[in-house]
Amino acid sequence: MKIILLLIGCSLVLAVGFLIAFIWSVKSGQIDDTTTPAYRILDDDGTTGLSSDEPLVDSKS
Amino acid sequence: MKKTIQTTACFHCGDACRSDSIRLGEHVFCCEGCKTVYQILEQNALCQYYTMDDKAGLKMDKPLSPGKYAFLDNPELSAPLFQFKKETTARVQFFIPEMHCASCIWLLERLYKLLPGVMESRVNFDRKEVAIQFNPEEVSIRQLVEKLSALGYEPSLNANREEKKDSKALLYRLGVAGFCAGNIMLFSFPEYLGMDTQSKEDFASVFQWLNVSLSLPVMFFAAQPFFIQAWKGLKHRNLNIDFPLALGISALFIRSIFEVVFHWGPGFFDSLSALVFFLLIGRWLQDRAYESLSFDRDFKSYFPLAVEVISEEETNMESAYVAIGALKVNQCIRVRNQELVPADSLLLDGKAYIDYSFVNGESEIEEMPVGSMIHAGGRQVGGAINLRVARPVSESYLSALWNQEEKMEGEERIKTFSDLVGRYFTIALVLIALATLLYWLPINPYKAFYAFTAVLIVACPCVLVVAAPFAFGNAMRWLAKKGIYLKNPDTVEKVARVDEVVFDKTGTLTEGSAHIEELYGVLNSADKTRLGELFTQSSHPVSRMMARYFSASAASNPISIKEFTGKGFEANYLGDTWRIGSRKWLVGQVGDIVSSSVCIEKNAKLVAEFSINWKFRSDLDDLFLDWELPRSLYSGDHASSREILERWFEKEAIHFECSPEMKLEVLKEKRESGHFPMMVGDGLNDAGALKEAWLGVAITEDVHAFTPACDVIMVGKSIHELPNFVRFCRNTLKTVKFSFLFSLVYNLVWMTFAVRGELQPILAALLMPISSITVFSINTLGIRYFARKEAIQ
Repeated sequence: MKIILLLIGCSLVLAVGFLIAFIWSVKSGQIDDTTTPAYRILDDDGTTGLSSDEPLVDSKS
Repeated sequence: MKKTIQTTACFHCGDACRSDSIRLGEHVFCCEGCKTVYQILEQNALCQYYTMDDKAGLKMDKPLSPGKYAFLDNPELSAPLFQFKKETTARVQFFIPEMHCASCIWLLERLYKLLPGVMESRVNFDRKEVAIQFNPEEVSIRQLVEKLSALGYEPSLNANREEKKDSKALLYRLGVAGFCAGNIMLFSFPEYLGMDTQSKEDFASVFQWLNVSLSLPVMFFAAQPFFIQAWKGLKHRNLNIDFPLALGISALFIRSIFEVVFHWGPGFFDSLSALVFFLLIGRWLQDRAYESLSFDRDFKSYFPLAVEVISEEETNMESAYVAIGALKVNQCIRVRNQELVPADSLLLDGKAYIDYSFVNGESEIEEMPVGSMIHAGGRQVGGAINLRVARPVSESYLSALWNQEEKMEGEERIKTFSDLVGRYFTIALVLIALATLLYWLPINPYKAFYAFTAVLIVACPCVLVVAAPFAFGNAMRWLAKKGIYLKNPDTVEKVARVDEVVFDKTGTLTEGSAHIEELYGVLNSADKTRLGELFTQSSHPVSRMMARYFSASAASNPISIKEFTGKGFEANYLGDTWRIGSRKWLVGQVGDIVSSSVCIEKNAKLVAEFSINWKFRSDLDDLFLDWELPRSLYSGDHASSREILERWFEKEAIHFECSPEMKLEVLKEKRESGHFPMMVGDGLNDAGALKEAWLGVAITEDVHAFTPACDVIMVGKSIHELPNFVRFCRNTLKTVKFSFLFSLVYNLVWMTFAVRGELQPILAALLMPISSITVFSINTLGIRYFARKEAIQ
């Protein structure tokens, strides 16, 4: 039954790892803004900037 | 000549265009500003902007004065705006109040296409902020701000915006508490399953000591905010809602430690950490609700950030921009139209017409002779004036005045329902817990401690901490979707108490536009341009409408202007004397015209007259016919539309020709007689009355026109929602009261067990979150139900 102590040690290390991952994610700003990315994903022109109104693009750019 | 309102919508901002003269290609615009923004976007192939949201564009009818951001060229003044600055990279973060839809995000994140030198811009929509990284060698911060302003996204440059650090600290605490609570629960399994005490003694003590060590971060890191708040409350001799929490948590902790040390039992570390975890979740939700709903009402944001300082010699009119904090006594400053006087100053020259409505709520404009003292916070209406600073900004009369008001508000807040309940509940709870402790102490010391903790925990008032702000914040969110904006969550409670309504007419019951007809006039086109410029100087709804009628832009030359409240104004402009105002004032007799009219005199000769037919909003039947609250109308106009109004108001409740002071008096009387009047009016002209009322509702066509005195800002086209709005707030308060009653009964029932020492603290800690969750659900579901019912969704 002593093995249970080892298992507990492992589980604690794992849990601490998750805690550190969480703290890191907060620190790096991943939870700062939960709204904007939802809008950002709807922009379809990530590449060239050419948008739906192409005649204008042709004449000006 | 006759102009009718066009149904064409402006291609940029979507407002109705008053004429189709401003056009580009097949697109029609309501004003030059909107057209300019469209041109900028078109040239940069960013027209997708318009396809993303129906009402993407921002109305651009307030032209930007060219020198407004000149102060940013001064490195000393712009320094606080930078988050980071090196030779080729700099980073700034702007708060942009106008940000409102997906298109805004789209355009702001494509700033690099509009302005070479911008490397990246990132939007945080919840906080209405954009972080911009740019190369200061290619583009200056002034150009950046001016470009944003030209697009309609004028950043608010008050440097004192709250940092987000607190919320991050809370997240760390939440993470730690969750981690510890989870693990402690795991190590408590032996106790839960009853497999420890005799046979596996060694394991039990290992687990117990693990629990002790895991509970330390919970106590000394995660639960810290409760102790700090409780201590703050104690220092002010006030038992706040955090006090029993802090007491309960520490009692639980100390007792558990004793249990483990003296081998009495396993302690209650699982309850303790779960308790802190749940409480922090509640805090976090509350903070989030506050943050996204915060009405940035920071006082400093009304002040211009820098002021133009001029040198004293008459001949040398050089000027420079100086930050307000650096302003010194005896410096000369220039304040232009609509700018606020930043410090108490002496008037040197120029015609000062100071509007103190912001300071004392009286919307009368005072004319000040040269040499008189002008107090900080006054707003100049008219041409530019030169002033000499008499007292530094910090000592200013205004900040004292404002602080005074803050204090008053603080006292008033305690009267709100949730605060009252919270306060007495806390005191009662602590007393009951102490009584329990004292009762059991001589009989059974072990049980005494046990019961004391159980009482504090089972009746934990965290529901009260969270429920009301959460419910009101939720209600605010529903209302904002309908175009009704509340100053703060407590306003919901204020609305619920309203027992009568006072209306203003012009701009409130009438639409922002009117049918203007030129009755006669001998005006050439130069006259018309000048008239337009004159009308932009006044903020009266009639003037604003006339300015629009003339498609006016801002005045290019100095105007000396004098307003006569309720009559009109007089102006000297480019050598001509203009008098513009009501027929009664200028001609003397009212004549046979039924509608209101504006007469225009040039050099003491009547040159034109316009009739103004206010168009009542089309949804007034919806507003009035099914509304039980007593209501009255006080209008500054003359009685031309009495017949129409009698459809909606009692005959005796309609009052015409009221000055702003009279409205203020009326509201004062109503309040003194114990009523809770709601004033519905135009924010700019009724500021005094709005402030005097129990609840001030400013009706505005343009939400961004800021109105300091009111509690609620409502978009004009939502006015028919007023009855629903009041009903909704009442029902919200009822929901909150019901949930309080529920938790009170629930707590009382369990408290009877706890007082008798029959409730284990661990069970108490389990019962507590159940009550919280129930109360949460009652509030959320109840408010959603009422929002649907009143069609506020």
